[in-house]
Amino acid sequence: MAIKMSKTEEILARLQSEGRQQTMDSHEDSIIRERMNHEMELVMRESQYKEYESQISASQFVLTK
Amino acid sequence: MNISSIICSFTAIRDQLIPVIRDEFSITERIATEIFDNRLNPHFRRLKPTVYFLIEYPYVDRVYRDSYYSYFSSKQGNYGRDCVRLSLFDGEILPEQLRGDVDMSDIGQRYLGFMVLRPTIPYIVGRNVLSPRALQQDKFLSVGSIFQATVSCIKFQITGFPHSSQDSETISCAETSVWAIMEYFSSKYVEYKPALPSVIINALRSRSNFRQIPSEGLNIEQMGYALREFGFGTKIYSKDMYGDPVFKNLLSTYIASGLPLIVAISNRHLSGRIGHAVLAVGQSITTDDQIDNLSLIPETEPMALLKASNIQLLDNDNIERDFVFVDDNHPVYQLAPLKDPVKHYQSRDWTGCQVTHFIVPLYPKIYLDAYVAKKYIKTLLFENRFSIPGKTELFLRIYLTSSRSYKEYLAKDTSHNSDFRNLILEKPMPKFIWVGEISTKTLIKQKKANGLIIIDATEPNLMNFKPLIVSGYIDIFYYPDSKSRELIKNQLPLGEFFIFKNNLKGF
Repeated sequence: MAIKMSKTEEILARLQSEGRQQTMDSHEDSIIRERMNHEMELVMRESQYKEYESQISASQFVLTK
Repeated sequence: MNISSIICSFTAIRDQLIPVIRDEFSITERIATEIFDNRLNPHFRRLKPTVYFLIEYPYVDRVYRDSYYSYFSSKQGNYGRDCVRLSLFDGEILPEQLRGDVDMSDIGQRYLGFMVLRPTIPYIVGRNVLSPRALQQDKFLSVGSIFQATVSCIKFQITGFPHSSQDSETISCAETSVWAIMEYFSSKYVEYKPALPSVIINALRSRSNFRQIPSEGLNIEQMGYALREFGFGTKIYSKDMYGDPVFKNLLSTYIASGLPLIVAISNRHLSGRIGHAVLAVGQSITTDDQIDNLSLIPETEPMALLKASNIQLLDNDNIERDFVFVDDNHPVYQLAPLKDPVKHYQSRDWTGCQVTHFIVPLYPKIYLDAYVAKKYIKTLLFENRFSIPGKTELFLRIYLTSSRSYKEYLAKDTSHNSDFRNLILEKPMPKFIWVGEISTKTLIKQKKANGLIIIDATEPNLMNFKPLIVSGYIDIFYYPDSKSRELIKNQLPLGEFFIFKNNLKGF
């Protein structure tokens, strides 16, 4: 006897057949995606700057006590 | 020379230990008494009065022997090779409980850890691992690892965080912190090895322009280098660069992720002389009052989506809580708030000390750090694909964990919607994930959430939902299509589910 444990296919097929599944590929969706991409580019740039400056600051800080 | 053992109660430890220290370390009664009162008693008076001690001597301690052969033996002064070891138990123990064919499970459960005393007068507290259960004040959450120890020839196990005082010659606070991090990780994961003092010194040989012993401390960059040499993908955060609120917020995120951090403390900005390294290894238990008092703190970085979304976000990491510090100038597990990390110091020399930097010993394949991961998760929320009404107040808790630990919690938890749970369990995941649990003030007091965002901690490319694994809130569940990376929206009620607490074994 064998029992299939995985459920994902069955769940997604059910959601689709019940009209409860939708691919977010409209023009509006792509605008939102581009907006988020832009936001994340800013975050990454800011993060790299902060990391670089943190490393410089750390190199000058001696811990002795 | 034979091994001697003494069992004594909490009230008898002073009378028993002073003669042992005097004789084993070849010092006078007066010095032995001063050392007990000034160096050992601060550790002992925090213990539960029900504690019993088993004193064994001479004891060969691998950490002190390393310092002895690499440094102390080269001096003219008379330094012994041997140590004294104290083993602690909750409640009375008898010699017959450690001999013969007897059930030792009870005494094993009552074992509270060990403390090595080394002959580096007056800094005699060496390697020790104590369970928080040994302390009178044990209501806090802390990372810990399992350590094997032998007591009177019987093997025991103890869960705790390693600690040692600095001997001020081979190990200062900086080396002690690196040593403790390596002790912890090597005990927990096979990928890492313990780093004895001479190994740390050797690892930094090429990064030091001056003599290394006697130790005059390390700069933070050297500590980061040593940890990288020992297998970590080290990250450093400076308060000056991130600003006070974000800096504290990120430190809290890593603690909630169950990672021990090396924390730099200083008052040099006030023309002080202190530059000290401690470890942050846990936090106080979150109270309902702390959740009620949590207020909105505006994001300091420019986030256009935040301004547009009008969602009110309460970040768990902005709660004003105490953190658990392991400080080599003090007994293990000190609780203090980040705004006053040296509150346990009495000396005026330490006035005005602040946390200035912290180092995170990350697994080398974690490419997404807390700063970026938190921004990503918040941006996904602010983008508002969940149609959250304006001015909705959300409580957000973000942490790093292993997918193995997260999936085990999910598989065993019964509060999740079963479809939602199965979809997540069957998603392929990297070794480490960032998780954002979306909740409310009311729900989080019940340790529950009603939304979830899981992202890939190994994916630094943030374009087109690449790091996103799943996201869901109330009755909407998203996941990116594996080929097109377009989001697939599903109407699926998530319900309310219990939050993940495996990182610190509590919230």
